[in-house]
Parts: sequence; C-alpha cells; structure tokens
Amino acid sequence: MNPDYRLPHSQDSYGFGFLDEFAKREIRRVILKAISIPGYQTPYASREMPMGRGFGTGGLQLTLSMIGPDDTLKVIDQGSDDSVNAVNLRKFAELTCPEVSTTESTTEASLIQTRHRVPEIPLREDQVLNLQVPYPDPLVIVEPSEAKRKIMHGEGDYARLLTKLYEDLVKFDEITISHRYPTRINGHYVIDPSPIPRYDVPGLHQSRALLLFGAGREKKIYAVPPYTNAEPLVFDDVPFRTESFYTADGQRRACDRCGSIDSFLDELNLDDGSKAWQCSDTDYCNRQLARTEAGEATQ
Amino acid sequence: MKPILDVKGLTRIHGTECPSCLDMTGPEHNTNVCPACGSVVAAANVSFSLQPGEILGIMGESGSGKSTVVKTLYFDQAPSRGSAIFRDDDQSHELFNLNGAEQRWLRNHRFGMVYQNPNLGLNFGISAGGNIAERLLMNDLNHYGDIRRRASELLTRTDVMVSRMDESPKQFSGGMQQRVQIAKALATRPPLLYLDEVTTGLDLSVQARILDLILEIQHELGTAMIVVTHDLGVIRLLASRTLVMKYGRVIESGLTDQILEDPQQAYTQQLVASTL
Amino acid sequence: MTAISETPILDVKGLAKQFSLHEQNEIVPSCSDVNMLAFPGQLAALLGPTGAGKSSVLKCIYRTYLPSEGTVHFQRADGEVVDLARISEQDMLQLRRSELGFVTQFLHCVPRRPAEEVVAEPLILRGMALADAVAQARELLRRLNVPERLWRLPPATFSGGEKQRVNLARGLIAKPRLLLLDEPTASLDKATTGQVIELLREFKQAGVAMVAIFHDPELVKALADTEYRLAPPQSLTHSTPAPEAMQS
Repeated sequence: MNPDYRLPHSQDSYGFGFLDEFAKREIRRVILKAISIPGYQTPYASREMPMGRGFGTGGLQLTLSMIGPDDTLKVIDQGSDDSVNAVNLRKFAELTCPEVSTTESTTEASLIQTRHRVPEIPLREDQVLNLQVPYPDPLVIVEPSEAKRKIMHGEGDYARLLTKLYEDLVKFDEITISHRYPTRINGHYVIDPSPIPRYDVPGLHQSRALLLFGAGREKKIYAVPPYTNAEPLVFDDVPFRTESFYTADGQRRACDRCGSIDSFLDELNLDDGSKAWQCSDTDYCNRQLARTEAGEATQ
Repeated sequence: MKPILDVKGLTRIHGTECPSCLDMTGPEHNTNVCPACGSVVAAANVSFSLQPGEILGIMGESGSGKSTVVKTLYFDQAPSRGSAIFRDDDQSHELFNLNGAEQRWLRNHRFGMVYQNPNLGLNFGISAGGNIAERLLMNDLNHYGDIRRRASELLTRTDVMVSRMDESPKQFSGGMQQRVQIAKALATRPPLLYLDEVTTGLDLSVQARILDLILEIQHELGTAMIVVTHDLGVIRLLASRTLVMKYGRVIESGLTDQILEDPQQAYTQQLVASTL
Repeated sequence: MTAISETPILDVKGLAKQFSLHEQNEIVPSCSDVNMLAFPGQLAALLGPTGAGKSSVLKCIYRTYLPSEGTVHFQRADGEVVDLARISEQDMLQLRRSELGFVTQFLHCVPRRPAEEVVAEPLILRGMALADAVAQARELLRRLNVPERLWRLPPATFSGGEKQRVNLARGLIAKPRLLLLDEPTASLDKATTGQVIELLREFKQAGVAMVAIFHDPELVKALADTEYRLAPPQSLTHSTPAPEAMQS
C-alpha cells in the first residue's frame, strides 16, 4: 500500500469506514445476534476486502462496522503493533476513517483489533476486542460435514472432540493442543478462540470487555459477551495447563528487554545462535521498560 | 409387565410407492420389487412386541427385511409407515414421532447396536478404548480416570486384551472387532440392544465365544435384545421367541423351540430342514 | 396313601396333532382325540406303542408343538385356568420359567457351560443366587450318581446316560407345579433309576403333578396313579389301575 496515498479532499462519494452502510448494518446486527447467543457461529455475508483472505478480513470487517470518529483504534499482530500486517491494517483504518485516532497503547484504545494474542493488560468495560479468526469451528477436526457440525453444536454434542483430547492423553499423557484450545462459552457452545496461546484462554473468562471473533473467509462472527464464562475443555481430573516459562532449575524466565516475569514471552533465535526471550505484547514491554528506567532514574 | 418395545405395522418402501406395491410383493409373489412402479418393499406391516430382558430372534434370508426392521428402530433409516413404542422407566416414547435430537439421544443413551460390519459401529480413526470413551463422554462421564477404568472393565468383560485398548481396531481380528463393538454398545448399560448378524462371517469357534458372551451379558444385565440372523443355530441358542421373515413380511412367529420343531409355514419348514 | 385332589391342574380335551408337510404335500397325523387329566401330587402315565404319539402329547402341552385341535387347560398358581395352546407366547415363557417343567428325551442345553450351571439354571431364572443354585445342583447331581469330576465340564462330551442324568437334574431341580417326563430313565442303570423313583415320590409328596412316559413297566407300577393308553393316531383308552396298585 502506498503510504503517501490520501483520499481526495471531497469525500462525498467515499463512505466512512470503507464498507457501505448496508454492509455495516448487517454486520452490526450479526454482532448483536452473536452476543445474544454466546459462542454461536453466526453466519454473515462477508465482503470482499482489499486484501487477501487470511490477512484479517474478518477482524477488519468487525472493526470497520463499529468504528466512529471518536474511537481510538489499536491494531496488533502476535502482540506487536509494529509487525507488517498490523501496520497495514492500522494505516488502512487511518485512510478510510478520517479523524479516527490510532494508538499503540492498550489503555488508550477503545477498540483493539488483534491477531493471535490477547493484550496482557486486562481490558475495561468500555473496550472491545476484535479477534481475527482463520477457522471458527473446533469440530472441524472430527467432522468434515458442516451440516452435521451444526447439529452437533446445536445439541451440545462434543463427545467426539473430547474423545480427541482423550486420545491425546493416552498417547502423550497430556493434551497437545497449544493454540486454538476449544473453549466452552456460557456452558453450551464450544468455540475455537482463534490461534491465541493457551496462556490467553483464561483471559476470556469473565472478561469485562466485549470479545468479538470474526472469520472473513469462513463468513462467521461469534462473541464472548462481558462477564461470561469461558471454560477450556478439560476432564474433571486433568486440569487446564498454560504455557510455563520456567527453566529447568525452577526459575521463571524474564523478558530480556524489560525484565517482566508476568507476561507471555516470545522465544527469539539470535544471529549468534543464542536464544532470547521477549514479551510478545510490545506495548506491555514498553511500559515495563519505562517503569524500570524510571525506577533506575530515581536511584 | 408392559413390553419394552411395541412395534406395529412397520413398513419401509424404497422408491415412489404406488397402490399396488403391497399387494404385488411378498412371499406369495416371490419378490420385494413392485412390478408396477419398481419400488422395493423392504419390509411391510411388521408387528411384534418385546418384553424387558427378553431376546427376540428375527430370522430370514437375504431380502427378508430383517435388517431393515432394526435399522429403522435404531434410526439409521426412517420407516415409510408404522409405529414403535419404547417404554423406558415410566416413560413411553413414540419413536417415529420424535425429532432428530430426541432420536439421537435415545440412540446414544438407551439403545445399543452391534453391526455385522464393524466399520459401521466403530471409528477406526481412534483407539478401541477411544471408541468406548466416546460413548461414555456422550453420557456425561467427564473424568479421564473413570473413563479409562470403565473402558478397561468393558473390554475385559468382552474378552478383549486390555493391553491392546489403545490400538486402533483396524489392527484387530474380526472377532475382536465385534467384541469391541459389543463393549461399546454396552457402555451405557442400555435396556435395549440390537444385534444385526453379528457373527456372520466369523470363524465358528469365534462365533461360539461371542454368542456365549452375549448370553452371559443378557443374564447379568437383563438387557432386552433383538437378534437378527439367518443362522438357525444362533436363534436356537439365543432367542426365546422368533419371527421368520420373507420378502419383507413376517410369515411366522412363535416360541423358538416350536418354530424349530413344529414349523407351520412351508418356508419355515424349508429353512429348518436346511440345516447342514 | 396320598389324598386324591379333586381339582385337576391339567385338563386336556380332544387334543389332536397332525403335521402338514408342505414340501412333501403330506399330512402326517401324530395323535388324536386325547383326553386326560393330571392332579397335584399324582403321576399320570401315558402308555402305548411307538408311534402312538405319546411324546407329541407332552410336546403339545409344553407348546413345543402347536396342537391342531383341542384344548389344554392348566390351572395357574394364581388360580386362573388358561388354555396353554392359546395363551400368548410371553405368558407361556413365563409359565415355563416358573410353573412347568419338561424332562425331554434329549438334553437340550447351552453348549460350553459346565454341567452344574446347566442344572442350576432353572433356579437362577427364578432369582436364586448363583452360589446357592450351584450348591443345590451339585447335591442333585450327586444323588443321581454323576461323578464329581464331571460337574465343571460341559455335558457335550458325556455319555448318553450321563447326559440324561444332567437332563433329569435340570428338569427336577426347581419343583414345578406340573412336570412332564419323557422316558426319563431310558439310559439309566438300576441304582440311578431307584434314585429317580425316590425323587419322583418326593415330588408327589410335595404336591407336584406329573405326566410321564415310561418305557419300563416297573416304573409305571411304582409311580403311576392313573394310566392313559394311546393307540396310533385315532383313539385313546383310559384306564385306572386297580386300587391295590395305587398304594406305592
């Protein structure tokens, strides 16, 4: 995308937010329906967007349907504001939504669009998180027919999915699903929470913010409303485990940049062959760093 | 005691159906196929009742409609006409008036089915234990340890080596696959079990063991069963009452010993005389 | 002398059986115009030459054969009188489990089960615990001179006489209200036959009604309270032995 492109001065013929108003209205209605039926994959007429499927068209349609000039938008990809995709999406929003503010700060944003991570800082009631979803249906690994899957969801019949977890335990002594961990919403529908790590799944539970999930290619929108139960599928005697960043000698790893021991860390392979660990959430890392530096400055 | 299953007028016709279908097919016409419209009358006007804990045999050759009867009762197929009342605890269910969800619930919780072809009854993509786990999970058992224990118990009970429970049934012999099917069917302790030609095609010694197992289970659990077979020996061994079917109709029914020693209909006499 | 009960537990009237063999296009008569009564605590013997249809009569009562004509009235434990030829299959099965017994000529049993379990089965069907039933079964097998080493073996490989003793034991273990016996001592030695006579006398004392076919006239003399003589399918003559013969 040409970074110097600007919409013409007279924008009468350009709608705010790229999508036509009919599209936005349909998507908003679908969002309301999805909120009314927590975890239900609500079908919608997903529009063609000016980027390929698989680049966040679902999340983007959610954002563009909801955004207004008084919103502040943050876009992250794998926790980072400055990855290529996040930057492009943010610039697209800046271009098509005049007067919208954008930010890298989680606390300043009213609307956050994300790929594959939930921000470290817990969100507030006045914030909305839009997650980009490649495959919405957790049952797709056990049932190829969508018609049958719909019936299984409707009847709450997840036995075959749980059987897959059983088989994992039998073979590997633990459940091997790392991202896209099937999670039951409000006691009924089981969703694929998108490729967020297990670490982030507890953050969905009783969230203060509204969580929306958009799958553009698969044409589904689903929601985890605020203060709703989101429970990863487990067995009564096999508790849910998240990624542990403990070393072999029992130490919790810290971020090499900011020192945080409370965040999800990315493992980086450096040029000299060594490994470094760094917060995946760049805004969080920056804050921690600022705090550490301020602390040092006062000494 | 009221019957656990009361079937009346069960009919299944494949095809467009016309007014002549029933009159022009059946044992007197030696065909299932309607000469007027080409529809296949797989079963017509089948009626019977089954007491709790009883084993009913349905005997017939190919095309008799015997498998069709259990397939409609297990909801693998929908009948064209007829009713079936299933009594469970204090409730009465009119099986063919239930919606899909209710039928699936009964199928998963109150019925068991063992098919002749293990491909239909087992999922070869998961382990033998996993097949049983699936059924237990459908019945709200959510404790991994308990599931393992119960699956091992069931496999031990059906003489499947517990050491092989984590293998796919693909690697088992035919007899063992049938035994896994039986274990799976019994996982939920259903009051009603359908067995469709379960030993056909197996070696004789294997057949014998499986039939013995079925009898033992019936003694222990008091499960009502419908045993579909073309084999008189199976009928003699398992069933206290028998229906004989031909070209979709029940041509004779009675106490098994009476059917075998004093068959009334010509066809039944032929069948009984045909034992090797 | 046992008192003669006046109410028959079994009342057979006009019983006739013929087989319609469709393939051969033949009707084969088996027995005809059979009338007989059985009373609690008494044994009625069916006599007559081979081919007279004696076994058929027993099988018709037990519904292994469907009677072609006639009625088989039986007074159930609850007092009601039913026609065994016409009651429902399920009712018949219930009666076979709880009130009727049939010692047939040949041992029909589940293969591969140990003899003691085969014998115990009628008790188990009536709700007795396995251990108790097997204990009683062993007692009876001992009484009928079946060696202990055979108790845990399936009867399929036994000799004719051994099979017959297992068969007898199975038929006798649960005292039914009406017991049918078809040549029960045919393959037995004198000592075991003596035991059987004792057992059947005990049954009479216990009020069991019996209808029996004996090949041995000694048994008839020892046990029969009434005799019915059948002729090859046509008629039937009924005779009661002289009073002195009934004191046995």
